[in-house]
Amino acid sequence: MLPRSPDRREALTLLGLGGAGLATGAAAQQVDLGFAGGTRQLSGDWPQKGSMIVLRERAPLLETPLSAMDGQVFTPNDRFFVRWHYQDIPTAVDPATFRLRVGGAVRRPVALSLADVHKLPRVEIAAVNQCSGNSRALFSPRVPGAQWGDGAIGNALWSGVRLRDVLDLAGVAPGAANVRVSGLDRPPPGAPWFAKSLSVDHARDGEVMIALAMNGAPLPMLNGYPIRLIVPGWYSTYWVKALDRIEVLTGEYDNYWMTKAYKIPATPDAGVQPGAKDFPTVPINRMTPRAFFTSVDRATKVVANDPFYVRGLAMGGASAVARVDLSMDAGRSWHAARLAPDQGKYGFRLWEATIGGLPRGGYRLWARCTNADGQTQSMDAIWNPGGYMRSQIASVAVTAA
Amino acid sequence: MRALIVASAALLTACSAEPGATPTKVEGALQPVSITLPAETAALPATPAGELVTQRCTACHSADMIARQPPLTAEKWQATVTKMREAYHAPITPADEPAIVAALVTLQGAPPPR
Repeated sequence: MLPRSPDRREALTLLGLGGAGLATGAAAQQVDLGFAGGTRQLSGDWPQKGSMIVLRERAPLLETPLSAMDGQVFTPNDRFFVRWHYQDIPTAVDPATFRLRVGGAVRRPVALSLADVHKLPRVEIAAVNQCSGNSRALFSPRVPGAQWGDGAIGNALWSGVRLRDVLDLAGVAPGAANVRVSGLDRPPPGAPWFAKSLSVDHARDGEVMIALAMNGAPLPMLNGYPIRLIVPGWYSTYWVKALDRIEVLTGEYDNYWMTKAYKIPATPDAGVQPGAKDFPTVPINRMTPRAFFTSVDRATKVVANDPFYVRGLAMGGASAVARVDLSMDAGRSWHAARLAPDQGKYGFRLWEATIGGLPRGGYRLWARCTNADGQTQSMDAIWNPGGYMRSQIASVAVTAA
Repeated sequence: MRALIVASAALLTACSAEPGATPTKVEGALQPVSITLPAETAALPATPAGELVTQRCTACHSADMIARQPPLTAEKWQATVTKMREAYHAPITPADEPAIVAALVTLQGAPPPR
């Protein structure tokens, strides 16, 4: 081999060795996510977490292996993906002294204890939490940012209280336009605080809620203990973790995280020509339908002429999953997959199918989700510079032998 | 048919694992919690480029985030570094940027000329 300067592959190799060197005893398991540079370590070293794909150690970015979601609508808390922006994240919380402050354009600012929050009417909702940049590493051409595979996503049964009821304890003042939400994480010196905003109407729609529990248990610290915002149907960037401050605003929230980051092209599919610049943008918002394979890998082998079973999960985005269809001819014909019972329109829906025996050979199997609004996935990939909202129809290679 | 039964069984498991979530149960479970994050293991190569990037970038980002970026042109790295300075107020000056960008490009292996 010719001598060459250190390249990315070598840098990754060094990283891998570093990881293995410190993981005494524990066999460092690797996973290949199927794109250049997509070799990752699986680690069970993260608190309150099982085996997770480590994308970044600080601030933690932990991805869920799709196989960990197989056969179940609700993603286990200890396998739920983790995403923080800044390294100064909460690592200790005393629920007795924790306060949720509601201020700004309200009749009376309040500082609520968790006991105060618990007194409000309880609601629960199944909802998919998906990072805006889920599947970013599959963009072509590639874009900078967290190089997620498909696993920056999970579904949980969230229980808690309506944001509307919390706002009403303070009393939204006339002229209120937006609601700013932020949590216990802190920026490095000089960097903009991570905070997001929703319109007052959205915040008060009765669906946006504050979760006190996730799948019937307290939230893991890395997923926002003690409470986090749940914005059903919307991308995770709004689901502020360790939520402790709500500020009602009479104008737009014009900070970096609303006006510069998490912006998508103002086109119907959030896509632009690769390399495009200076196009109109809007803050990312509602999710779109997606279907994933969970029971088979990207390249799966089956016995020739023997029927085989395949299943996965689908999400409708801003409305319920209406159908999942499978194709083995690149989308010329589609066949409906069976859907397991609906657990809530914003949640995952399990789909499954048995494919008739295939003669020896190589095939490709596509799975497409369509939601109740008639919105459906496309065979074509979109591109935008942020690597947001990928929702191209997923497929797996099938070899019958 | 067997497949259907398997799926149903899985769904039943999912259902039975659901709450119970009576408010008292959850409320009782909210105890003081503290976690310890695992020690960082990622490191950049001990080359001049690796050391410069370690020095200028890893106060905020662990090395794995930098090493896992897809191949980026100098122009793209420049945009990222400028964003870190302007939007996040990273403690670097415009005069520091060419060396940082060059080191990032070197770490990835030189991209083909544009």
